Amino acid sequence: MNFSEDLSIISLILNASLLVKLVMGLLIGISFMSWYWIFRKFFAIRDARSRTDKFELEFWSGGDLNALFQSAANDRHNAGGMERIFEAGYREFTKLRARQNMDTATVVDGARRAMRATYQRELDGLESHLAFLASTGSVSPYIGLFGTVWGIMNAFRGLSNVGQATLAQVAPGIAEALVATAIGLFAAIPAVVAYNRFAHDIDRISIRWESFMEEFSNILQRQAR
Amino acid sequence: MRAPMHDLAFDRPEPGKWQSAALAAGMHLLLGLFLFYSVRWQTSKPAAVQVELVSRQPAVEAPARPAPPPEPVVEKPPAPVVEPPPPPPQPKPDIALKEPPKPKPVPKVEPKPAPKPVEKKPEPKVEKKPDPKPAPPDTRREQESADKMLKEALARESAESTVRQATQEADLRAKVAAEGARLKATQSWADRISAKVKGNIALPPGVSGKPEALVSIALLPDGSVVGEPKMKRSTGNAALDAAILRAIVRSSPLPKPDDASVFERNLDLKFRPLDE
Repeated sequence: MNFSEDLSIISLILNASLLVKLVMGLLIGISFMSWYWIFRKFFAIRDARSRTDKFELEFWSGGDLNALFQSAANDRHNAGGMERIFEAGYREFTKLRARQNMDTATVVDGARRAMRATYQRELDGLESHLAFLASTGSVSPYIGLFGTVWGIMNAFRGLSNVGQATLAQVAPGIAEALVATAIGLFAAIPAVVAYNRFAHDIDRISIRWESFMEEFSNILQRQAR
Repeated sequence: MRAPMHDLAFDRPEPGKWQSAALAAGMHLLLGLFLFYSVRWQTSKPAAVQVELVSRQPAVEAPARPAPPPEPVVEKPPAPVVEPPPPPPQPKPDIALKEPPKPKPVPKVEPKPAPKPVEKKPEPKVEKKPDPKPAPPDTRREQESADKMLKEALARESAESTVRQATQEADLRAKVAAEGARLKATQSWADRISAKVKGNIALPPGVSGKPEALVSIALLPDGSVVGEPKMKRSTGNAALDAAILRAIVRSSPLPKPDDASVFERNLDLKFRPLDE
């Protein structure tokens, strides 16, 4: 580790050893991806919530189920999760009811299975990449720590060649090494916060969808008679 | 039926793909700027380490300035050579006049006795003058020669007195230089003591300004503190006074002077705990 007077962040990064640089690069990449997914998930969840709100309002305002189904089926690309669950359930319901000798329980069960399948798919889409945030939150501090440990090892090894050891000779090396931990923490902290927040939001949305499925099954059961 | 459902799940346009990429990039740009402008520390750190050294040096140099340059020390060797012949008591008042303005003349007076034995020389000369009386025949020649000798002696005396004066002065200057060196040694010793004590002072909270305390310490030659140090002049802050006294006791044994002759049993030391 050479003696650098100018300890700006740039010189700290440039003076680090190759492995520490690699670790920093990896961490910056992870950090970038994690922020990308944080923003994307944030938008996706906000979108899902607003669409759910809108559909709930439409559904419970007492409109005709057929009209609702038509609009949902025609505008698939813009439909929210709850709308799709409704569409799948209603589609299955109408198909089963068209057949003869089907009792009510079977029809409703079929519709419910169709709804559950859509529900799972929608939830899966909503939850995708949350695992990435979770592992970023838990692993990147360790990656940063690895870089730091390596950098400090180098700093002390460089010290062994010097007769008189001063703090000024180790300090830059350690500062360089600690930048790795700093980047790791910078990647990890938002990822953990976002993961917890998104998991909670998705839980709430999924509960709304599930209760909607139950209520809609009741409505279908009443209609099937 | 399955296929369209499958499509449903994957056809949806994911919101804000590019937007989030841009936001993430902006986030990192912000962080990078923040780090770049905030992590500028340590540029002055080596200077901070030097401050400790610099602060001690001026303290040593300050007393050195009043002391005259070391040139007189070079002149010292000729002094003893010239000294033996000159007997005159005349320059003495001259020296007596010069002595008072100088700080410590006590050791200087001691070397003076050295020329004193030489004073006896003129006495035989004076005795020689009456000598001619008992021997009248050669009186004139004797007197002439005596006169001559006297004149010579006087001339030599006056010449020597000026030389002596000069050497005396040089001597004095050398003394002062030695005094200066001594003062310097004392000062550096005092500096080392206060540096050590300062390291042990646990500053009480809320101390500001430039408090200065004068503490009287009794020392053993090995540097250990005897009894309790006494506060001669308080800093005005009782907690700080107590902290200084405690620090002195804790620093025992204090550093010894480089020059053992500088050692004093009772030291009065100034402490400025807030000075760097």
